[in-house]
Amino acid sequence: MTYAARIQHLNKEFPVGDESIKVLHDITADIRMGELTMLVGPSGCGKTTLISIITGILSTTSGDIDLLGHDLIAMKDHKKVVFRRENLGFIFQQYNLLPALTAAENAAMPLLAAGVPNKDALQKARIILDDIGMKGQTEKPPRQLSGGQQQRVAIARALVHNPKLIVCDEPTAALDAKTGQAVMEILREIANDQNRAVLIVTHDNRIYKYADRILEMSDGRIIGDFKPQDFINKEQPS
Amino acid sequence: MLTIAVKMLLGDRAKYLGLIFGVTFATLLMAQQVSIFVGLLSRTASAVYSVQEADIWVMDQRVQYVEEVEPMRDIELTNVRSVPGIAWAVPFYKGVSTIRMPDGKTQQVQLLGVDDVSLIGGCTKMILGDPRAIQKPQSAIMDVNGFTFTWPGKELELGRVMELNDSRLVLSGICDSNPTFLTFPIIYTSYNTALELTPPTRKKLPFILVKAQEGIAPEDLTKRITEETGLQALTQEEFAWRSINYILTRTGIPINFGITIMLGIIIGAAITAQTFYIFVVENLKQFGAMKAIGVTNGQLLKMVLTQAGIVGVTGYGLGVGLTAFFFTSMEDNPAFKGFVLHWQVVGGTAVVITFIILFSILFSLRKVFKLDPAIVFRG
Ligand SMILES: Nc1ncnc2c1ncn2[C@@H]1O[C@H](COP(=O)(O)OP(=O)(O)OP(=O)(O)O)[C@@H](O)[C@H]1O
Ligand SMILES: [Mg+2]
Repeated sequence: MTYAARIQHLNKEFPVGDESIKVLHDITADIRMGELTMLVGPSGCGKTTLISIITGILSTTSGDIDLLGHDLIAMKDHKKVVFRRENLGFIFQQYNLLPALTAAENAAMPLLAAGVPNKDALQKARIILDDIGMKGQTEKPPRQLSGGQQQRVAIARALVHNPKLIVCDEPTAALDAKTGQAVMEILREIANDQNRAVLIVTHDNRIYKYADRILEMSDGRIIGDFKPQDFINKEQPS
Repeated sequence: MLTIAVKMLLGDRAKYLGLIFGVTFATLLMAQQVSIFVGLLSRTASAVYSVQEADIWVMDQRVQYVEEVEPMRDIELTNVRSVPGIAWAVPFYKGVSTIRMPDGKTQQVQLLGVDDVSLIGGCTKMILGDPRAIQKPQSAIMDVNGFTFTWPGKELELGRVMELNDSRLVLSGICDSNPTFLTFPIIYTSYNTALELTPPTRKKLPFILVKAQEGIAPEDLTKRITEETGLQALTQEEFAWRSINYILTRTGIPINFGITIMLGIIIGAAITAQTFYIFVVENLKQFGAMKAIGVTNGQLLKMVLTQAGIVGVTGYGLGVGLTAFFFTSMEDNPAFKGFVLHWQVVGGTAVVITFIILFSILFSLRKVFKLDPAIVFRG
């Protein structure tokens, strides 16, 4: 078993005026390759803060993070940007696609940012878009696509550069049940069949069943590590 | 990434056009107004330079520029002629009068009276007739722009009759002359005819044109003339520059032009800066997403500079094009004769526009640089 991320004794405080509020308390957890891990918990418990830190977007107050074999805490800020570009994929709740670009151009963004020639980057993006059910849609701008299709473009953008860790914040929140299921099928396949790590922050209990593992957070702490069925049973005792 | 920057810019048609408009507006206003201003100044100087043969202009001490007339007594001509070192000195009449056509219409003109014998200060580029025609009494030469202005649509022809202060004047020549600060038609007569045409007063001599003897520096001669006669004597160069300086420092003209040009710059910069800023703010989440994905600040800088460059080049090109078009279409209008788009103005405008654009993207860039990519995770 290899690890995508190993987090040890992580603390995070935000300065608010003269005070500071502590948002993460002594978090220790692993994210494993080949698994789809879900991070669940009530609003405000610190899920987004945690994934922002794991991906080097926010800094820590204290603690250690090993990200894909690199010491994230010691990494310089500009290195983190390049590291993200090369090793991480992101899927946001709001798809954050550029409206002026086609689906393929949006999906090709990480490759273009890394300096891959336009033609190669676009070709790669089209292949991935085709793979996830976007055949015939690759040259359309986002406004001509449905919410589910836009989220697929965002997924393609998160995969196009073969990152080892894909991080998603509420990827199904803006989608209807059926579309959400389809998106989750794709994400689980990526984790299980392509031996990558997928980390998903979610509130959406309809998708818990797609997880290999569920980490429960409350009030800045990780309070449980569940198999999905156990978690579903715990949440909805029937 | 630069292709993406271009697409982002062109994708927002309304803002793109807004940006282009801002830059075009500033360019047009600046290039056009500066050109006209420069044209006015060179017209001022041209009134002096067009009398090529004269090294020195002698006039009353109170005269500050070439369009101002403070007549001297006739005796001053003799006084000046007696200063050693002078090759020749001739009278030159310059004044504004009104002519009346046979049909009763009146028209303001510049009346130039040149020395009857030497014709110094008279026209050189004749279109119709002979420059010596004015040696005959009641004869006048008019500049061609003046002719078409006075008799619009009429063929150029001699023999037309007009009246100046109740005296008859016959058109005996048409010439081409450099446009001057005053845009009235120019009428050349002999100095004596000019004196006869204008009301009799004690002082009637506006200028004396002087040539220095071979080997005598005009600068030295001017001092000598002033010492011996008490008159103001200036070399051609000095008088041209004094006239320009007068326009620059003593009239409201530079301020008027300055205000228009500043308005162009400020409005252009405001439109551009604001549109750019809105463009960036509206795309802030997308910029945040790019930063999260791993687009560096350096890459974002290049993207924004590319966008700014496109806006700048397009808007500037349009602005200069429109200015050039303006001057070309005004070519036949005598009021704009001699007004051209100098390359210095084109270059200077480019520099100012570059600054406007850099200023415009400054705030937007700051916003993008300071942008915390963590915003992409917020709802
Ligand atoms: N930049 C910040 N400055 C101050 N406090 C912050 C900041 N970011 C987050 N917080 C606080 O940290 C806590 C955790 O926020 P976080 O966004 O991580 O929660 P979350 O679990 O993702 O919630 P949700 O499910 O609503 O997205 C909240 O109380 C929030 O107000
Ligand atoms: Mg959140």
